[in-house]
Amino acid sequence: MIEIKHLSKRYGEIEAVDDVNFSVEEGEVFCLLGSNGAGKTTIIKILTGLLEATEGTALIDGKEVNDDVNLKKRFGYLPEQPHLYDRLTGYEFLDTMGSLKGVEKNILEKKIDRYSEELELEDRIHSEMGAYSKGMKQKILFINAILHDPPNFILDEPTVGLDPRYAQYMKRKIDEFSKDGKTVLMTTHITSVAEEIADKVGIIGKGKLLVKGPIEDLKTSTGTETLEQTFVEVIRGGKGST
Amino acid sequence: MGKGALDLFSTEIKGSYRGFKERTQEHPLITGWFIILLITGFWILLMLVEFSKGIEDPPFRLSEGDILFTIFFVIMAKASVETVENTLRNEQLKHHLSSPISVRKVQFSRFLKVYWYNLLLVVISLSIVSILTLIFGFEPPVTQSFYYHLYLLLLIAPLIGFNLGMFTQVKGPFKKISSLMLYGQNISLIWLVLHSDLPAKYVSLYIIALGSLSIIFLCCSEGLFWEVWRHGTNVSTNQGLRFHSAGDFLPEWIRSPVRRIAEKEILIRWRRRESPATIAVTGMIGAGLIFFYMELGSSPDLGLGIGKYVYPILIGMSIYIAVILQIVFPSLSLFGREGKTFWAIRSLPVASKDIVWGKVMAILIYSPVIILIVALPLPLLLPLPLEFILFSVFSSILMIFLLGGIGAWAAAKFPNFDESVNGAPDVTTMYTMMITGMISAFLFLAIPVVIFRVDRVLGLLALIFMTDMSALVLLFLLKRAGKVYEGIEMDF
Repeated sequence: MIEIKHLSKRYGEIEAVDDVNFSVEEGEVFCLLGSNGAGKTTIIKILTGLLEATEGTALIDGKEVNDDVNLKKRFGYLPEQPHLYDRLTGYEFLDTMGSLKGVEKNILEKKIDRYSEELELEDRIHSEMGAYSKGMKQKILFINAILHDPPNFILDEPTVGLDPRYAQYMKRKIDEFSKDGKTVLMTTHITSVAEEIADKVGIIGKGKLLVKGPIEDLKTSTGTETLEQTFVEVIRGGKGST
Repeated sequence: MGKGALDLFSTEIKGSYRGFKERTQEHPLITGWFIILLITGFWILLMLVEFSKGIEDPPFRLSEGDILFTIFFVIMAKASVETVENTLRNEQLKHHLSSPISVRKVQFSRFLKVYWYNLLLVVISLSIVSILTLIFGFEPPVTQSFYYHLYLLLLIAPLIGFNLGMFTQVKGPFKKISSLMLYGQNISLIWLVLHSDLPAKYVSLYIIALGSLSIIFLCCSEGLFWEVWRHGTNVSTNQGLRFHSAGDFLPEWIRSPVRRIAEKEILIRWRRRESPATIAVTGMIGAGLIFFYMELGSSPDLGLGIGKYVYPILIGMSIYIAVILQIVFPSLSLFGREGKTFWAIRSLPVASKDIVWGKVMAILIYSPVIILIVALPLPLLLPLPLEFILFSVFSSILMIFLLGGIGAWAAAKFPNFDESVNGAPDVTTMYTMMITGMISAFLFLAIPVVIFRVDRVLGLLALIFMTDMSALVLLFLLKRAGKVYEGIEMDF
């Protein structure tokens, strides 16, 4: 379970995140929607311990986010930008990260082999990642996030850079996680992705969580037919409620 | 080269300046400490020059040519290393090179950056020297032509360094060696000219001519720049040489998180060809010591009544320089080098002290090289008694622990995530930690050295005790570094 309580992050005068509140229950897929620079990634970074909140708290499974090792084992993180070690091969990276996350060697090998086969990476998994395309890096990041089978997933724009086939694969996987009772918090600015897989969405603009709730409820409250229209309406400052 | 190159240059300088200003304002005490150390360093240097003037009939005297060449060589080597590390191996340059701007403009903007920083350093250094000379009434024992040649050499040193940096990255050993040998002749010629009996104006003319040719070469080397950048940032797709697993080469008895982090670091450093480069530099320091031995013989007397201390001082200084180059400088960029991949280690469920330990271990693993190449050969060659040999070895270990700890702490305290310099630390951090390391090493070694002069066995035991203390300092600083690391925010 993921909880965000009165979360704020300021950079001098700039309010990157302003008193944001929401929670994601077990088995739920919550999607944060927002324009570029709205504050989605800042929230994600605070949740993963990459940034410190100015005010408020971020909790994972009831524990406040900090540098606690056991807490970090309880989530899988996929960052927005696919920055990876160019001089390591995909296999070396996953092997290192997996073992540091406490996955046993024999299980780890099987998992890397299985996922790289499913994502058709097996031909390039032993090449240095500097030569990978953006989509290939995104696949490596996805495998890295799920390797240790955590109960929570924090995915920042997971489908970016993927062709429709693998975007579909990723959405299917996220759906499986939710059915297995895992918590999924993801960000996107592609409303169709959110509409397809999210149970609830939150629309964020200029650091503030403008609305949140089940997709159908938001559509009804804004009198719109699609999530895209809802998003535009809410960002424009039109109807909607939290 | 025009506007495009200048625009790129000014943009980068602005970005670097803002980052530098931010870091400086964040740590005003360290900035103050740096300024004190810098001024004191130059003052000591000028005092030594004054002191050396009083020695009657010295066994050897440094000529103006020696001093000029040394200054030229240091600036040139620095510019060359910066060119390789921050430009030719900088993958971020792809953003410039893929823009609708010619390669020549990108090359020239990078050259300007190297040139600007080195000239800035020179201007600051010369200003301090001038002010100190005026205040204390120093009279450097040099002729007027020394200053002309110095200014000319300082102007061409970064230029030659930039060109040399490109030649060091040429693909293939044959091409690399032959091009380096060809270009290296220019450097040899500078040495010859500075040590010749030619009238000063001809020496100046030669330096100007070499500078002009180097500029022409720079203007015509667009293709070479493009080739060496692609080679420097090329990643291997050769799967046969890759490790199937990244965790197979360090012994299992090292705790898993530390071992795995260390293995990752070692692999990356090796593939970026950083480790072979630092080992080669250590080898050059060892060779330098042997050169001194061949020049001075086994019992040198420098006319200062310190004959028996010449080699211990030389060995000590060499160990310090080797530790700085092979341990401290790489340690300083422990986190900065991660750049935007910092998220990967930061989000790992691994204790911060283990992450720091793993990263430092990947650097300390090469420390036997310092002992084998720098600390041991000369004492064995002379030969010095066993106690001296052991003293040399333990001094190295002490400095490695002590300075390694300082470097790791500074890396966490002053991380520089500036991608345009590949996360290399600021010159202020580098210099401050270098001198802080020197003072610390002096404090740790002083008592054992004094005791060693009276009783060798007791002195050796005192050194072993201080080495243990330095290991404790290392542990303490790594723990502190871990704590500081936890506070680093990834707001980039």
